Amino acid sequence: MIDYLNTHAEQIVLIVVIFLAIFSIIVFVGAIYSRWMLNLKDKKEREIRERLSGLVIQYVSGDLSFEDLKSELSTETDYSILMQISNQLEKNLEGEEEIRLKRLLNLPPIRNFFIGRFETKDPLERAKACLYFARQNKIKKSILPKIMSYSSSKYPMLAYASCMAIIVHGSTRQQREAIHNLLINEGVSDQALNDIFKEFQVQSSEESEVESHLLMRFIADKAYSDRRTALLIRTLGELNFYQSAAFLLSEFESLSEDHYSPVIATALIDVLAQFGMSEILDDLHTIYTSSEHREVRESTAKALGLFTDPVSKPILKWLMLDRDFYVRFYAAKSLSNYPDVQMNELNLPGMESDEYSELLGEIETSKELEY
Amino acid sequence: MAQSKILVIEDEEMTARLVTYRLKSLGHEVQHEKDGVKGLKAIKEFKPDLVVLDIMLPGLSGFEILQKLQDDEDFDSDKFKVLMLSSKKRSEDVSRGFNLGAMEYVPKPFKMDEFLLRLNRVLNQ
Repeated sequence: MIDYLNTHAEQIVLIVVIFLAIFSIIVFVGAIYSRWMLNLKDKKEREIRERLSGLVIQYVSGDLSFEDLKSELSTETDYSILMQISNQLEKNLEGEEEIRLKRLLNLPPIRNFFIGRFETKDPLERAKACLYFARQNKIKKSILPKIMSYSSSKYPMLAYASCMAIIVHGSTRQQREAIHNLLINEGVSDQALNDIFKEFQVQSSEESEVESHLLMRFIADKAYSDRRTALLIRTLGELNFYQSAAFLLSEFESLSEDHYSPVIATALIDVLAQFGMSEILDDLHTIYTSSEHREVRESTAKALGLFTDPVSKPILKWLMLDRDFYVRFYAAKSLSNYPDVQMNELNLPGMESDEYSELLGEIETSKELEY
Repeated sequence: MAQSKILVIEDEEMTARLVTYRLKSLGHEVQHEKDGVKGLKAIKEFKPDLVVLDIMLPGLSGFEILQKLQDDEDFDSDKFKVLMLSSKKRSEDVSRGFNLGAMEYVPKPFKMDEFLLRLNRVLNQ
């Protein structure tokens, strides 16, 4: 063997070199070819995008009929690009234009494309499909169980998207289960839950009490973290579900004087004050003005300003001596709601300080900007 | 309706194309720029009667454009009107735009008819 290698060494090296050279040429030509193909594909897609963008804009503006636009679509690439440009437009439009776009996004090839996304393993693709169906006015009920099953996904984006579609198309039972799944998924942000609750309100009729009852039930279940419970309470306030006032009052009254959650207490104080429930005043005066939690004292100071009752006035003056700036700030702001209170004439320690005049300036600006 | 020169500074391509299409179909002369730096340059060169201005832009934000024009002593910023078209909805952002000289604010998502109505109102002021 060694003899053979010694005798044919030159030929072997030559064969290896030739092989490597041919291999390099093949790789090189392959790379150029694939780049060329990619460029060609990009160019073709750009041309299609350009053509379709113009057509979609004419269609959305009412200058081209749905049938005429549809006749321009044939390939899978057409539909894929149409979907992208329609999605870009849809998020910025309302009214007639949005309705026309929705009709476009409901074309069978686009719908089938998203149904096919459910078969992928990629949670993001599944989430996109859920959001697509959440935007449709009607969907086939047969795909609801699939969407529903994603609400318990560990991926927050997928769980959120699934819940959104269920809120739009699901039954009350399914809505309850999907929201529950979201509430126990700690990866889902409060902002995402807020979006869900807003959609929940959009979908409900004016007289419907189903939504407020559902939220109250979640709170009464006491099955969620303090943060989530506080969010549910605030949602009742944000959605102006006044019918929940009595329930929230009983929750407020059942807070233990010594061991309450500051997050829940502040949410209850804020919402009940917003609802004008003066029944909370006694507890605010006696328990919560001297809370060890800064945020509770701050909410109390804010709330008292909404009632402007005579008993709260000296308490607010007392809160203006609080060790925390924001408590002092909201106490001062609440005091300024009393027509007979002149902020400059309050006889309080520290009034000569720069911070005090800064505080008054801040209050003036905040009132101008109405926040 | 009198023809006006309108500059659309908007980075979202499809929205800009739609707005441009509608404004052109109404007979206006329209130019579009998709970033803040080019937008600022176009305001000085194109000399529009009205600028449709997005706030979140690459390069320079809509606020920065307005601030730079206010600070530029050689430029008369009263010569054109500004309509903000933005998804920024916080009251402090809206007030900031008005303080910097904007005359109207249209939040995204928007209805095209309402947008055109407000635009005409600004043009006629």
